[in-house]
Amino acid sequence: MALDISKHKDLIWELAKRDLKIRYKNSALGFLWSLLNPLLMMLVLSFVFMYLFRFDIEHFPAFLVIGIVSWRFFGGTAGALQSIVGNADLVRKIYFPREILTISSVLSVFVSTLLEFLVLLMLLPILGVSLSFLVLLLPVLLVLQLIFVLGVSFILSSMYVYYRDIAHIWEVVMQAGFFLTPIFYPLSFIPAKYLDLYMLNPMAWFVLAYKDILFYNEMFSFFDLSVMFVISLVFLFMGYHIFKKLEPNFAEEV
Amino acid sequence: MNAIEVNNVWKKFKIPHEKRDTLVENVAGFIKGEKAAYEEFWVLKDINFNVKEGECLGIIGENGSGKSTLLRIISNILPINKGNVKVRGGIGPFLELGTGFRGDLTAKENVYLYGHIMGLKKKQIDNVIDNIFEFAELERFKDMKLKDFSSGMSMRLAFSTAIATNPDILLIDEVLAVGDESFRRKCMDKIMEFKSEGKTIVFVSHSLASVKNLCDKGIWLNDGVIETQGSVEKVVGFYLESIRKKEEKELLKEHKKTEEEKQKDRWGSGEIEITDVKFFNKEGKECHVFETGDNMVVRMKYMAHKEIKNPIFQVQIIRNDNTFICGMNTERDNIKISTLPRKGKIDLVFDNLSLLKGVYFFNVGILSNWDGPHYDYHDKLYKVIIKSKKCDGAGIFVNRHKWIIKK
Repeated sequence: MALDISKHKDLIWELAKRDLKIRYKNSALGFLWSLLNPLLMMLVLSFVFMYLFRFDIEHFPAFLVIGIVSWRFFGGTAGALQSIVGNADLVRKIYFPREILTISSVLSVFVSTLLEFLVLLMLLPILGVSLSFLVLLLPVLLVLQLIFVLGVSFILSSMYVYYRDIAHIWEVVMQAGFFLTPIFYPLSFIPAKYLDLYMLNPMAWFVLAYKDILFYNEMFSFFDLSVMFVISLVFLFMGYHIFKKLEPNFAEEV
Repeated sequence: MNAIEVNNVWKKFKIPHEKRDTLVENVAGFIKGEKAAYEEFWVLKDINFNVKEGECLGIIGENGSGKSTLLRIISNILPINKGNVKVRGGIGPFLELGTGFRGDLTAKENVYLYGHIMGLKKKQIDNVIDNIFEFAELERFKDMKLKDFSSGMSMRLAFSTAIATNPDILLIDEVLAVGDESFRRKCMDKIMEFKSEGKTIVFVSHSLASVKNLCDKGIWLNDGVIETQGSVEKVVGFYLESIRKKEEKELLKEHKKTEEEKQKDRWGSGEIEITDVKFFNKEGKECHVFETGDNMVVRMKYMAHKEIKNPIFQVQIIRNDNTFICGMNTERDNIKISTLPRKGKIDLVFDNLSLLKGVYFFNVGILSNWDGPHYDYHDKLYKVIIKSKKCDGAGIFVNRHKWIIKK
């Protein structure tokens, strides 16, 4: 796979750029508009949980927005799911390694995510959270999550070619996932007897780790890091394997 | 050295009876133990051929004979079920131009994207981008969004980009069918240029003239099987002959309409009946496809139910766009038929047909007198196809003629 990526990096980048351009409507303003969604989410959810549910968490908006931004990165899988079917005309008519489409779709999401994290880092002090040198660990988490997201995207995009209801199923999974990931509540809310089950959600590990370094100014444990490392590699390996298995018939099925 | 080797290639498509394309249906079907029913259909059966480096191969055949599937297999888009394909060199996929073009990007951005898909690096595109726009004659529209391009303009851009990738092997699938005449010629010239540079070309087209013009070798695909391969003249010749035979068969079927079907295009008193009309070539074989310059015999059988004095036999030729071409009858030609036997045949003989390429209907009839009532009349019941060579002329018919050059 590494070989394919280096050989086709221009194409991957060009496809990602195309995605970004279309997403941001070719303007810097387009990017600002795309920030509106997470910010609005932050405001609405802050209102709901601070004033209606009366959560007693200091700097709750900051706590919330870290979770939202990292969840949005994972939400990119919903776009990557379309990467093969959405490019049906290319797949049917030109040969090139098909994983390029999924990789470039994830890459464009990654670029958006980086920009959002950049804005997030500027926003956090305003929301009352001061950053420490632990911010330097952010790239490690981003890369690990990137690998995880790519793995999931490989599974989704290749299976979507054959099973068109996956898009709907995934939408439901994403919605449920938002509530089953510690985005707007701390892990301490989860009853101890359900905790092991709860932590089967891979995204929980990532969101907690982001909050550790950005919100609590704490280093995540080596165990957490190892778990994320294993999750990422397992999903990437599995995803790539499934993708390669299904790939030969894409042109006929898509 | 072979640039393309295709050995014993078999390819099948599955046509599901009921397409299950959701996970839910598949899981449900699996639990119930139902197997998805589908029909298998072999699109390509035991295909074998080689294309040497620098050679130009033309693939001809009817729609659905597997030509495009074959090209898609060579360019590695479709997997095969049996056999193997070896390709030496970079393939330029001309399968369908403009693939991957996006309306919301500008022409320039699209050229970069398309170039990358074709495997070019950014620097390589930087070097040729001006040539691309120059060849496409679209310099002024570089920064226009592609959705504002006409389809012809985007075709031009696509072709120009595709040739800029400068591949070793060109696979061309009927791409020249679009675009205006002058650009089409420019494309053809460019392909010729590639050929003279020693590039390998596989050319799929319905234009037999271009195939003959461009290719050295030919393959005629029929229903997924190679019917003939070899020199392009031979293959095109066989193909044309088979088309003629097929047309002949269809026409024969049409001529064998039941009496009932014929009734509605037939009228007259019925005192004499035309019982049969057949067309023969110079070998005396029944035939419905003729060439300009051929001999043709129209043979009518008749039966008279009572004694008729001075009947007139008539034949009219109408082109399928309802242009009346000519009418002939025995009275015009000063042939007196005072009494007619009860049963007999009459032949109308054309030596050296002067009709040009087209589809013609024949009306036949027996009249009592000029413009008088009909005994029997068959209106456009008989169809004949005429084929012409280029040298025969243009228009509806050819007047036998000669040129004399004087000082």
